[in-house]
Amino acid sequence: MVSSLHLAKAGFLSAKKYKIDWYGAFFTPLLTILPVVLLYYLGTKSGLVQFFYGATNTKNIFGYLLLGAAYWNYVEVLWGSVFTLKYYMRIGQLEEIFIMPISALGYIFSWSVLGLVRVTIESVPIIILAILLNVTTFTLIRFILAVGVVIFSIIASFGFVFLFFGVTLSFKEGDELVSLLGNAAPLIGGMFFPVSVLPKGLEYFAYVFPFTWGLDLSRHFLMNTNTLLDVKKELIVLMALSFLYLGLGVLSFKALQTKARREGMQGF
Amino acid sequence: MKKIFYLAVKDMKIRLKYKFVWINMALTPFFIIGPYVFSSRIVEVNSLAESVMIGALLWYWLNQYFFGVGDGFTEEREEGALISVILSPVSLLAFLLSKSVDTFLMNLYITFFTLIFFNLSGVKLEIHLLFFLLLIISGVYITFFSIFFAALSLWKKKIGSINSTTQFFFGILSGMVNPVEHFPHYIRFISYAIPLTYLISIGRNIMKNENGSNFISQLLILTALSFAYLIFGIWLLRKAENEIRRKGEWETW
Repeated sequence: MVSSLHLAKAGFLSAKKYKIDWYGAFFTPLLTILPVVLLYYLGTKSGLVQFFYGATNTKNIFGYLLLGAAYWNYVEVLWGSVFTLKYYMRIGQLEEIFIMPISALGYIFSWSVLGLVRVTIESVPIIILAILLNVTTFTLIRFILAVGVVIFSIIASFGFVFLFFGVTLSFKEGDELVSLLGNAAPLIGGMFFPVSVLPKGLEYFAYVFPFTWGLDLSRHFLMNTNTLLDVKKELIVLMALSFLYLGLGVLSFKALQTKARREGMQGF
Repeated sequence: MKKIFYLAVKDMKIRLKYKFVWINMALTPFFIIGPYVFSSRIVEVNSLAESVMIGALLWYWLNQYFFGVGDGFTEEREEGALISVILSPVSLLAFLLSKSVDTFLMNLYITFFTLIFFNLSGVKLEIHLLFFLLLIISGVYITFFSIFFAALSLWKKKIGSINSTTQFFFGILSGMVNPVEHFPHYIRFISYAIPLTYLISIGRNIMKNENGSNFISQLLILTALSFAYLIFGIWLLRKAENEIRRKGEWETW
């Protein structure tokens, strides 16, 4: 634990060197949803608002998108540890890092701490706006339930991180997989609109994705939106998928790490 | 020219070693552009989805040039290979142009698969020869536009997140989803200083089969603007290069 914290501190010290890189990150989540917001408000507004009301029980499209962006920020941040792993591969320091007495979980933890701090700073404007826009449906109990849902989503996210970590160690290209899934997830998981809008193939794919259920429940608790299933059933699906993905992730990581250590990890 | 070609071939050969990159490149643009195109489809107006898709596709080309050319020094710098580039008889501008050729080829690959995936999802876009020519022109002009960013990256070392943020600003202000005519006039003033605005507008005119004379004037403004950015970019690149030589910072980042 202490070694992991030292590694996290090293990450902070390196990041401090590049303050300019922080400024841009601050606006990224907001900018991702801005084109869709503009499309709704400057485009054919009435049709879209009607559609949203029918499909989700809310006319607060901006709040809907903001909550989606805040949720994704937290779920996805752990995946950034895979980019750190690839970064050490690229600069030729992976072997030095890996002979330290730190477990894989320790690496993921220490490389995620910086990301979590960063994402919290980035999410401040989004969260404040989301709460302000959803003030009529916001209660403390519902907020706690939403936080619980995010925690389960993060458990599922850990499952993905283990898989990505293993793939990167073994095939060196795990960052490409993270990039692909990180870009696909907001669309498939319903960050921008209900998954029913997606083409059928993608819609079915969305249902095996734990984050679709997590985001749907978070919005329900904070905005009183319609859910895909009955709330209790949906909570069971989310928990089952979260633990399933975590289990699969840990197993695949162990197998891939063993393979990577047997074949040698140097080079990329 | 030969040097640029060899460097571009080198980049392509390296990329051929990594299979996941090709899968990622084929699929990712669909997922990034998808939210904007599918959102516009909610209203069941196909012409809006097409219009957004043209805007988003051209924005994605800019996005790739900003990473490929604008952030063109980062990979070599992190791998400790930038100093070899500096020692070789290749100018920094030629090096960036080779990145541009590489990005252009990747963008063709990306566009091919993106159009297929959207077609399978029910959003069909017929590519005219003129639109294909526009993509080539966009490659050249957005390269010119990206050079100042490469100079900034050389100077400030790590500006990846600024790069991503800027791309979104440019996309939104260029009318990626909404024509710039819908913006207030003081925002339009900024929009018209971005080359992508003209590319998107010309692209939409081409798809509407409008008369070529409608966009000739836009093409002329775009050309003048892009060359102005090229001159500014080269000036900034030289300035950054001299600064780094003076401080001896080629190997630090």
